[in-house]
Amino acid sequence: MCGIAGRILTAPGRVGADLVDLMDAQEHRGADSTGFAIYGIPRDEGFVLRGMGFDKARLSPDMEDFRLILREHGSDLLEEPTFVTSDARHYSFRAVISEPNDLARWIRDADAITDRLEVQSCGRSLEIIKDTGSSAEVADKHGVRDMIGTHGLGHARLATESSVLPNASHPFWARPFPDTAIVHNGQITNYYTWRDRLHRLGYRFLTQNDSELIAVWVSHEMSEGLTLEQALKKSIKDIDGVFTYMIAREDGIGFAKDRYAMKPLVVVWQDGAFAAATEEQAVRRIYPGESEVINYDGPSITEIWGVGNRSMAA
Amino acid sequence: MADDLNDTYQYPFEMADEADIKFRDGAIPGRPAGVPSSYEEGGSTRWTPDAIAEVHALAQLGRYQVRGYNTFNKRMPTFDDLTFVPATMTRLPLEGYREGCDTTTVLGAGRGLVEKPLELKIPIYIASMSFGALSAPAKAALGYGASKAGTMTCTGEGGMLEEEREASQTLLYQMSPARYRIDLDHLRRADALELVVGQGAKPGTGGLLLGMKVSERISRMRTLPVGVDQRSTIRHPDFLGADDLAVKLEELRIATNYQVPIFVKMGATRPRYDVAIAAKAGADVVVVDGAEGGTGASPELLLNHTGIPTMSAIRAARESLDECGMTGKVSLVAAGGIRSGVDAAKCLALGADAVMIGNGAMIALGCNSPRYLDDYRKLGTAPGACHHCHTGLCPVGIATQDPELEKRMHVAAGAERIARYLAAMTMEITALAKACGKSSVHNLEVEDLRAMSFEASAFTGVKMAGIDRPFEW
Amino acid sequence: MSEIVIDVGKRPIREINEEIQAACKTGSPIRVVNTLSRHNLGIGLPPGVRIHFEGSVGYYCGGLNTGATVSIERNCGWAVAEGMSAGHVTVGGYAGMSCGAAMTGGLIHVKGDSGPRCGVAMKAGNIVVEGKIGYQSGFMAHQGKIIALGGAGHSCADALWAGEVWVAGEIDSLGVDVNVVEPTAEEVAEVDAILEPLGLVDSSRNWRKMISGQRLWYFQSRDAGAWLMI
Repeated sequence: MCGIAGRILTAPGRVGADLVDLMDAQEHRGADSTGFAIYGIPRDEGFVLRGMGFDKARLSPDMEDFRLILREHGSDLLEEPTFVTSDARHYSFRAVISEPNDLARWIRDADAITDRLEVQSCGRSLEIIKDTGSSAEVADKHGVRDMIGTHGLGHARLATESSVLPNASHPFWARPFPDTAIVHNGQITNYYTWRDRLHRLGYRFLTQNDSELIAVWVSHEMSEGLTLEQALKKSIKDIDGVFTYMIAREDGIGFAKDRYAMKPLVVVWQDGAFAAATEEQAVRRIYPGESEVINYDGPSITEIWGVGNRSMAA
Repeated sequence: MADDLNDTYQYPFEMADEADIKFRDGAIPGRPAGVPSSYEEGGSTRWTPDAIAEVHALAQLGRYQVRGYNTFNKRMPTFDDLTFVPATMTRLPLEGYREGCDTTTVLGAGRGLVEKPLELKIPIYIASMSFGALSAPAKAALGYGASKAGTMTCTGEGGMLEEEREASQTLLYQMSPARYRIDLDHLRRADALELVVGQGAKPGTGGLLLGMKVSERISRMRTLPVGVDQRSTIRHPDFLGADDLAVKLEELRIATNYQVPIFVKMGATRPRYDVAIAAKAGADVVVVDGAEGGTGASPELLLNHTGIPTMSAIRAARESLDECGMTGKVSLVAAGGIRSGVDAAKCLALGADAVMIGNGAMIALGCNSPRYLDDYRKLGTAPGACHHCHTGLCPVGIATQDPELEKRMHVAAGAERIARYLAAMTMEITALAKACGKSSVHNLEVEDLRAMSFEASAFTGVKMAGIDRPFEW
Repeated sequence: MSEIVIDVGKRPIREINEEIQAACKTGSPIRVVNTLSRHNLGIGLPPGVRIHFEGSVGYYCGGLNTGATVSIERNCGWAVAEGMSAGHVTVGGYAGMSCGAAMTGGLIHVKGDSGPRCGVAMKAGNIVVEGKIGYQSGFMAHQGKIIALGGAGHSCADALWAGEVWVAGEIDSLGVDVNVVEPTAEEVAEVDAILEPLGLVDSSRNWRKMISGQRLWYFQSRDAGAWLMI
């Protein structure tokens, strides 16, 4: 039960500010928490991480443990991590690390301390920022408006069957696959079946949020050899319930919608740039004038929107 | 040896005849008389006579069965598993026969958003039962009775009945998913609106009104062909989820010029989440209808096997509102299986701000009363056991659209019985509240209750009698 | 009479509706500008009013209309003119989901396509869509006509009551319990009478009319004897 948004620019620009606007217009759809997935200019080596610790009093020991695990995997911090703290108990961090020997193994070990600290995104360019509160609140706290990038996702959450916690917010990173994030509007009715199955296959879930499942589900299918398009199409059969979700990767944004066409998605392409949102009024924040609007209203549809000039821009 | 009785004891008299030992009752050879699990009764715990009858019915009809009334599931806990612990030494009781106890109940004022929150004189109102499920005289009687008692009725699905609008000083206008006979004029003539997203008797499923009750008048009001079975939608046509509901609620507020409160009614399934969502989407009042809630017609499987009990739903709903900071902003109404003021008082203590009664009100009107016995017999039932609301052949004229049968519903007499029933229920609530030392019925709280069964304690978190702590796993 | 112009922008929707209602009382035509696809514009409009929305609007525009003439220049969001009892609503572009949901009278004219569930649960009135009607259009339509000059999406005319869905173009698939019938000349004339004031009559159309299969009308036998078995 949420509002979602996507944005693609023709060249690196103020994608953060745009996503904040898109989500601000949809605040009534869910003010429990807000999150953004922003694809900045990709690094040639190393990964940028975003994460959250649950007790700011433990920040130093958390980071020590975190760094220890990194080193065990042949990696280390490339820059001093930065932190955002507030009155809330949790804190957020951003770190840049050199390549671990095996990313999946590292994150599995790093997840051993998820009761204290969570890595919420990892990629050459992906950064996920999420927190409780409205779009403006989260944007102010984390400086989202100043983030530069090529594309990204936004999400406003009205919690359904899981708790209102800063880490249960969207977007979700499809751990352990770098640079993959999803936002989802709706709810999954065979969540526990899939979660259990994927869990048995070794995937780790950090929340009880059904949307996290989609991220891992799609990435798993792709690791089994499906293309993104095939995975999106398959999800319509395999995942039950109500959903319109967008999955972003380095080179684009994919989208799928359930078989009963319950949740809308409105898209505008203009001058090579793209804005998508649950409600048309959100897109109007970016394109106040009338433009050609595409309503993805039908059942069982998928689409992939590429980020055209990305490599050139980078 | 103990297992070799013959060797150890000799009677001081002659051994009895086998025939005497077997009662000399002419029992069937090979089957001792009076032995339990005789052939007629059977002994299977799985294939009870009820279970066998159900399979026979499914096999003959080729469909599930439909009926009215409420759950027959024997495992439902009852309010009788809870008892009050009135003031004694630690607390001082109020004089039950003399001192006052406030029963005024305000619904929908919490957000400070609407001009005219509801102010009821008692914490009880008449549940949403449609004109269609009930006859017009029954609806009118409920309206007048409620007006006399200072409370309200709810239109239920199917639009506003003029007789009820006239009778009810305060009328809650229901917008069901199917939106029968909804128009702006009626919207603005209502004292409050209710959006239904489910009901306790059949959560997850839309309303049902079988063809025998789709009379000419019902057909006009609901825009249905006469005599067809009306099976309503469960999803609203114009919002699909709580996120869109927020936008829909704004529309209704504009349509009613921010005058009246908006209720959201739901069946109790996952109230811990559902109630929070409705509150956050902007409802003024959330109505939680437990699995014991009644209905005019429902697939029997849904009546018996869906939803959670009212008592547990209230606790979950209240905690949900507490957790999302909506207690005080959003009112909570509970319903489902409330029979008396005692049950109602328990609901208030568990956390409800008001309760809604359906079956109880119908019974006060005369449902299941011992009159017109032949008509009960024709339905294959008897007073006290009738659950045939769905047939439209209600012997006492309440759950019918038959012009002859509905004449049996005496509006003036029914109204007075409703008023007396509501007054009596309210007296029961205040008697308990005063015994617990409360000058307002709304100050009843969970601490005033003790559970007399593990189940009731586990379902509600109410402390177990005697050991004074909730049953824990 | 001079036109009254109301600017929407980012102002509170309640305030805008109050201005619209006040403007309705003057009898002047109303033009609402800078609509930015905002929701809940023009709710519960009185009869006789003429109101134009420049640009696109959001959800429930013209909801519960009781007789106003509403025109929307471009697109509208969900459930345009939901619950309308009378009036004439024109959508210049695309109408979102549940166009005319539960309407009880009046006419909706969509010049573009309409989204899924066009005319869902409508009780009377007519909807004319020049383009294609979306998925599950006509779902549980009680009465009234949904007329699509373009095609129809999947599950067309799903579980109709006594409503009718008329489609001149391609139909992706039919919903449950639908009968497709050949309309009579009189029935076509009735539809043309609706299209005529809109200037949309075209005698070359190959109409398909969808009505209820009536299989889902009766849960069981209506014979009273059968009730006693329940």
